[in-house]
Amino acid sequence: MKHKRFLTKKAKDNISGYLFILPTIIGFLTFMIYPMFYSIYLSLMDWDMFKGASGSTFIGFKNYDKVFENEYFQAGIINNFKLTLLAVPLLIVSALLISTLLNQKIYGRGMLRVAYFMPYVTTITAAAVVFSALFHPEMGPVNGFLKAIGIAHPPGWTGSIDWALPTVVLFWVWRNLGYCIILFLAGLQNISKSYYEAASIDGAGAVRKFFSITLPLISPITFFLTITSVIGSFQIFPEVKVMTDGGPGTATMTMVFHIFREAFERYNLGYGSAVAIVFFIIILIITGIQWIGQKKWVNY
Amino acid sequence: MTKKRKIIKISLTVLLTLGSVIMIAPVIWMISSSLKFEGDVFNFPIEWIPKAFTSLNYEKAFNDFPYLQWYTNTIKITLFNVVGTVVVCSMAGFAFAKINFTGKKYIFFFYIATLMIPVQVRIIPQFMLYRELDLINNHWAVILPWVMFNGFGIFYMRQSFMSLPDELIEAARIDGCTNTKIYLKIALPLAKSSLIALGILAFIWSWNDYLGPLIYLTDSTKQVLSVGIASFKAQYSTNFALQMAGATLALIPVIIVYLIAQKYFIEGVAQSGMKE
Repeated sequence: MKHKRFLTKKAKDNISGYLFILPTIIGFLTFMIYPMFYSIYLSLMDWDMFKGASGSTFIGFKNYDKVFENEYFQAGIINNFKLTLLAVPLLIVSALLISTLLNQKIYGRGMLRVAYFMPYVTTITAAAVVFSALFHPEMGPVNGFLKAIGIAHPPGWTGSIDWALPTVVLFWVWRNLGYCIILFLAGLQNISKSYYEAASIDGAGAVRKFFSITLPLISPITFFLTITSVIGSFQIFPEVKVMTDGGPGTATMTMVFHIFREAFERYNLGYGSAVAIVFFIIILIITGIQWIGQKKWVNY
Repeated sequence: MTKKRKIIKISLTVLLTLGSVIMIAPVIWMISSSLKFEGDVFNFPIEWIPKAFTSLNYEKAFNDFPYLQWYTNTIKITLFNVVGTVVVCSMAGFAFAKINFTGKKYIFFFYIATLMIPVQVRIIPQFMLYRELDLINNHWAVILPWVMFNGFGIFYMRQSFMSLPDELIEAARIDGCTNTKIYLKIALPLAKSSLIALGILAFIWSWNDYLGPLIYLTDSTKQVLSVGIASFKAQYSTNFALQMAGATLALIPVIIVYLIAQKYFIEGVAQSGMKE
């Protein structure tokens, strides 16, 4: 009797459990699993957009050969690494610095928090339009200011091969800074004051406290933000599309931009899928390296 | 000592205020430029308050583009996304946290593993699927993927429901409550702040979504603000005042919502990161 009742409860739990997750199971299969495998399949095909499956042929890894030979992909992968190496350290270090200062006794902390976080809620494309105008090489107020303080030849920003990528970086950091500041602040507020008091008794100064207490104790958040920012910076798309459209030349061409252009402007769906798979594998490798590397510097 | 402290406090405040001014300056400049005549936009030093006001840019924005339509579309899509995400993720999160069903651990593991798959890998097959289903140019094309499967949202809601005491759930079960009743009457009310936080995050994601609408919505009248604004820049590359009016129109609603609900916005983001 008891045994039988146990079974009914289990069966009931199974039924309701699966009903509760039913929408997500359908979503998981339709929007995750199916596209993932279909992408792999597509990447091995010479896909004719207009004839569909019947007019398409299996070509094995030929698309992948093309990926690595393609000059836009080569430019894209280099730019992606440059972008991440410029943007992520700038983002994390400035967010850490500002949040540490915001965590001190200051006036109007709440209002400042609101101000720093505001760029994060702005519509990316609208803000990108504004940045393009602000950083306009000839007329923009930023260069106006630089000329006013005596810089005769200010950077050409989005119009210049050397400066286009840094301009995208500046925009991206501006927009994401608030998000990182808020997460750091939440972490900083979780650190018990007693650590700092004990350090004060031992005669430690502010700088010493920061490096010996604050930095190690918020390292899990720093790690989380680094890993998500690296992935995020690799996926930059609207910023590039609106501000530079990949140019000038290939100065801001990224892997994602390359995927977009090949698949949706030139309808090379097979080739585009191959780039997407390569892109995915690169992200996996980078995340894996960071995951292994964390043991050296993250304290839980 | 106290005097020294006060000086530090004041100088820190000044320093951080300067930083925050730089952060919001682009937005202020955008609004002020949108009210200027084109010839005055790039006057230097910047005229933060326009010498001559005009509403011409706004009139032109509304007349030359289906702006009102974009608004309606964006609001509609965002509403569906926010409500749908909160409902679907909280249901799944509740099941993973408080119902013991077979295979739950494995399913959950696979769900979390998908967080590693970038959107860009899925867009091409999704595009082809939509063509088969005749969903191109249909708003469901940008609503369904968000709502039906949001790995982060499911994880977030599970963490939140995990913190509810098991004794409470068991007590309700002994009283004869079904899982549905426990979810509706006990779990949801207790997780209210997490639900609000997730809703706000879904709002930011949906309102800012660009790649999906750009690819799956092709008619101008079906389009959303984020894509509409970008087309503005392409079309009027020399009329900056007009571009600023377009950008302002897209930003003002979010900024107003943000200023009203900023407490929840910021807490929501802080919570979401902490639980990762």
